[in-house]
Amino acid sequence: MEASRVSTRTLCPIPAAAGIGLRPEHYDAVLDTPPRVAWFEVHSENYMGDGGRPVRVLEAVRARAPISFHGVGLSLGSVDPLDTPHLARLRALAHRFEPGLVSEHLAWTSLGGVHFNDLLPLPCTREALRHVARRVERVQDALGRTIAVENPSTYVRFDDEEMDEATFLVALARQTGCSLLADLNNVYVSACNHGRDPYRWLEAIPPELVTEIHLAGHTRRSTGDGEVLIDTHSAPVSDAVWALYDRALSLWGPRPTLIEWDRDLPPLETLVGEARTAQARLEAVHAVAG
Amino acid sequence: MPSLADLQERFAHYLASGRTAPLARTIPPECLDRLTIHRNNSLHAGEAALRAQYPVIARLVGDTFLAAMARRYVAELPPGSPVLATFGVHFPAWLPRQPEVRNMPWLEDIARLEWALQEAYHAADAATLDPGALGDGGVTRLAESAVPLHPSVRLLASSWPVGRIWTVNQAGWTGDVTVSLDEGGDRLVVHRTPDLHTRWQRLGAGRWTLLRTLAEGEPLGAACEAALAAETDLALGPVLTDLIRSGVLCAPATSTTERE
Repeated sequence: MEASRVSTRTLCPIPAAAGIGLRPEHYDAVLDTPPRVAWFEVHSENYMGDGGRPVRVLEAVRARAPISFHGVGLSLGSVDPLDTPHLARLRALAHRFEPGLVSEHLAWTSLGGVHFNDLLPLPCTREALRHVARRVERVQDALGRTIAVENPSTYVRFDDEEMDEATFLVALARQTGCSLLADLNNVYVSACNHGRDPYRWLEAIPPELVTEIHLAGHTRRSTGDGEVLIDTHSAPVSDAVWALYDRALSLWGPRPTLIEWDRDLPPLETLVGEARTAQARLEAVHAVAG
Repeated sequence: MPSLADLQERFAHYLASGRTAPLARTIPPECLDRLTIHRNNSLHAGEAALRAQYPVIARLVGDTFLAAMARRYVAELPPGSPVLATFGVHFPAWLPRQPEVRNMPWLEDIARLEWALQEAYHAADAATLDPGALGDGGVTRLAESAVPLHPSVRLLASSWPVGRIWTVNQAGWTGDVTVSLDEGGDRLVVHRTPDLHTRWQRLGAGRWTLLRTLAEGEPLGAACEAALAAETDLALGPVLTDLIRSGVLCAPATSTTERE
């Protein structure tokens, strides 16, 4: 399918400002004292129940702020048949809540119908690119809109890969019309783990392809052959990732930016504080651009 | 480079077995150790989901044993959905078959209670019966109607004191923690309140019979008669009022007294 035939329905677009992830542990805090953030992102899978509090809270939040759907379960890279019941659930959810963005990961999470609950790595090969592009097109057809595809944190490489990750993602976006969700913590983690320069990754991505930026924390762990960075989403954004963010903003311009925190959740104020830091950096770029 | 299908097959085999050999000619040697990050993530996700869905079971068996049970559960019943809310659905039936817990026969019913609370949390929304529906001859009008239970309602009977076991194993419980297994069984209704929180209530013979009869689709009048037969001094009016305020009863399909 041609990219131009994919309609992008963004009834409530995500502003080029800082947002935070909405997590069940913060429901009460978010409802009691709505935080001053520009938008919220949710894991789509957490709202696929029949009803009850999660859906009601999302309705309340959506009534006053744009939301983005971030999925972890479509398994875009798997050789399994596309999970059409899951896609139908996502479609129904998107129809109901009209998110400004819908995103998924460049990864596979299932095989033989078994779900591993982890983002597993894809080799950057022409075969994988063809496969993922076909599936992204099918997802976009089903949803009637384009999606954003996120670069994952990687720990292992494969022998005989045919291109680097940035080349793979740009080709995917050009072929399918999808956009890119640039997770700068993942860029940093992957670059450190494979001895590459994270700034080269930024420079390889054309600005017009980037519709969202993720910022998150990582942890360091010793392994048999030295140190490895692990994308844990359980810590503040590191100084190195903030520096990368400044560079990304100067290359790409302001973009919707999410503070992502999933494990060992801090109080809501901590997340809002991180979002405020991102917002200040965004506005600094606006000022320069203006 | 093997085909994508072959590569994923080998990777999945590694995740299940922990043996890196099939990937050794595909992943550079300096990266092989790092495969454990993916295996740990996968195992941790299952364990964390079970701990979140079965906090009382986790407390009763301890973290180490729960982690071991989570690994075995995933190995025997691999998750077939990316929606983690459904992850623990088979756990209550699976758990009592594990040899290590044969001396804890009440665990199964505790697990059923915890799963019922999970289901109640995510169950469909439905218009509940209006509190005013009983006034002004309302009971008489409703007597011939089937009054459906809210989609979140689960009725649970156990020959163990599961309510007491659950209560003394809540975080923050500071009272007496002793449970006498001789104190007999429990009949509980699990449901979602109108403010969308989940809870359970212990039922006497009358209320149990009332809800069981309504669950079978019988009209309210017949359910009340059955309830009074099971518990002759049941105060029907207050019982119905309480069930309505709790959000347990839904409006009959033809009723005009619905509310959101």
